[in-house]
Amino acid sequence: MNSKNEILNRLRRNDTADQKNTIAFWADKEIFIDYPRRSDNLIDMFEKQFNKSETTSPSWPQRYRSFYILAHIGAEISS
Amino acid sequence: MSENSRFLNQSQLFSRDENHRLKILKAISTYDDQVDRMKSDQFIDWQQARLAAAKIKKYVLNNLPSLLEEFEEKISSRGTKVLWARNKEEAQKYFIDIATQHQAKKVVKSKSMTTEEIEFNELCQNNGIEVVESDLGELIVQLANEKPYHIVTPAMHKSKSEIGKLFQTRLGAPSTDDAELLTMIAREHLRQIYISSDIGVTGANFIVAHDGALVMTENEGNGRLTMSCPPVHVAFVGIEKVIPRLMDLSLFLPLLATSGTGQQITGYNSIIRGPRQRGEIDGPEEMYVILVDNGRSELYNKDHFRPILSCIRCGACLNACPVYRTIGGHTYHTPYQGPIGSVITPQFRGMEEWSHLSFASSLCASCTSVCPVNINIHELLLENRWEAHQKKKTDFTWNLGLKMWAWIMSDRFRLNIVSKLGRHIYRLFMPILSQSKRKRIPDLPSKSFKDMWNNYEQ
Repeated sequence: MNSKNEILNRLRRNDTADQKNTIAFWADKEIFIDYPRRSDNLIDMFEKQFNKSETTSPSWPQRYRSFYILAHIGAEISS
Repeated sequence: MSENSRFLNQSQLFSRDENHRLKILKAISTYDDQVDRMKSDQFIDWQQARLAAAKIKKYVLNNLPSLLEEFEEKISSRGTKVLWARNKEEAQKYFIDIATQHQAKKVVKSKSMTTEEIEFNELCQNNGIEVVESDLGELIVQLANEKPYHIVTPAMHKSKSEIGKLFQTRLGAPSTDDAELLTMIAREHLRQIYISSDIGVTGANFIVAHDGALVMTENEGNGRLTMSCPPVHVAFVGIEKVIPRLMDLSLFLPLLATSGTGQQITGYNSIIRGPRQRGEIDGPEEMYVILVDNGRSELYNKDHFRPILSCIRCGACLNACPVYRTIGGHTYHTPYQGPIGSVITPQFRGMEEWSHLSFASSLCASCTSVCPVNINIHELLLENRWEAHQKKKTDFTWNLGLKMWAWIMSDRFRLNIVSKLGRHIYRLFMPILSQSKRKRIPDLPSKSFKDMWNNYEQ
């Protein structure tokens, strides 16, 4: 057995196929109410969040400039 | 000397060293001010952000095997070779194989806790490979032949004048204690090393599963140069460093920067998706990611301990810990110090030698309250103590004391007798105890709490 399989098998030893394991964290409406959905375009999402923090009730993080730039970089790499 | 005895001796030495304590308190109080300001400036609701981060990390841990496979598939598709290391020895072997294949004689390395864990510098020295630290703090401790003092600020215990003297003796630099000049000396020393090194070694703060990317955050730009200048890039990454998506960085980067150094965001944030591609002019020709297990999968299978794998190595728990503030980082004698080190070291290295670290805590829960991913660190210290007790790795006198305490506390009559007896013994030894120059011994009140309570009820 190679190292990869051995590590993955160890990690799967207690895997109970619990439904919780498969529910995406972004489905938690209470915590991620202001958090972007998985399908959101990265740049749209940051633009939306950036504008939102200045106009309506702000969410975390409050200052988005760095993240906005980061999102652009990320989106560029992803493309 | 056993690790326990060594720890106790060092604790006494460092806690009595006022100069050392002043340096640490000065560094940490500056950090405290910045972090408090940044938490309120940057986050509307810090607690909500912590909960969100914990939720993401819980999702990661519940899906770790598949996310790791996804990461491997995505990053491999752009030419990176992914290697899986079960333990320290296997990670070391992979690196030596890579170094041999590329006939490497010189390695430049940025700050990485995983390389500390696998004793990378010692490995290179033993195999005739020169290794130069490129992070300023790491370079300072390397020149001083010391180990990192803190997981984020490795040279926290060094004053500017001490660093100036070190640079003077080790690098032949002019004598100075000006921070800017010291940085320039290090910069000049390192610039040629980036270019002349055969391999650049880094860690990673996060690996992004859906996008197959490595994320490094730093403040000096050394990580980016270490990764991109030499022809080969090797990254050692703990298997728990996964985040699902690139956009999760919008939470984790500010969270890490705020908790780690009190910044809004770190100066350099690199997202690396592979070696140099056709048509690109920068970057390494080859890239390897070594995913290191080294005890993590065992920890993963212990339900209580699984949350500790959410740790993002920000060092906030070290700065908050009254024990760390008093005894300092070198006393722990491990790559991971403070509360986080006291939880994972006995788990990684065995209760036999290291269970004493779990007792190096007042259980005040400061570590838990500052943790940006909401890990119940103080409860895990208790879990460690319980495990040590179960494995009979605790002291005989400690066990006897606890048994006596339980016997006394479980009966009101016994407690009354011992309390009365204790008051007399205390009064008897009061004159001797009061001689201590370090601590003022308070006088006993004339009545015990129980007597006062009885009077109050009447």
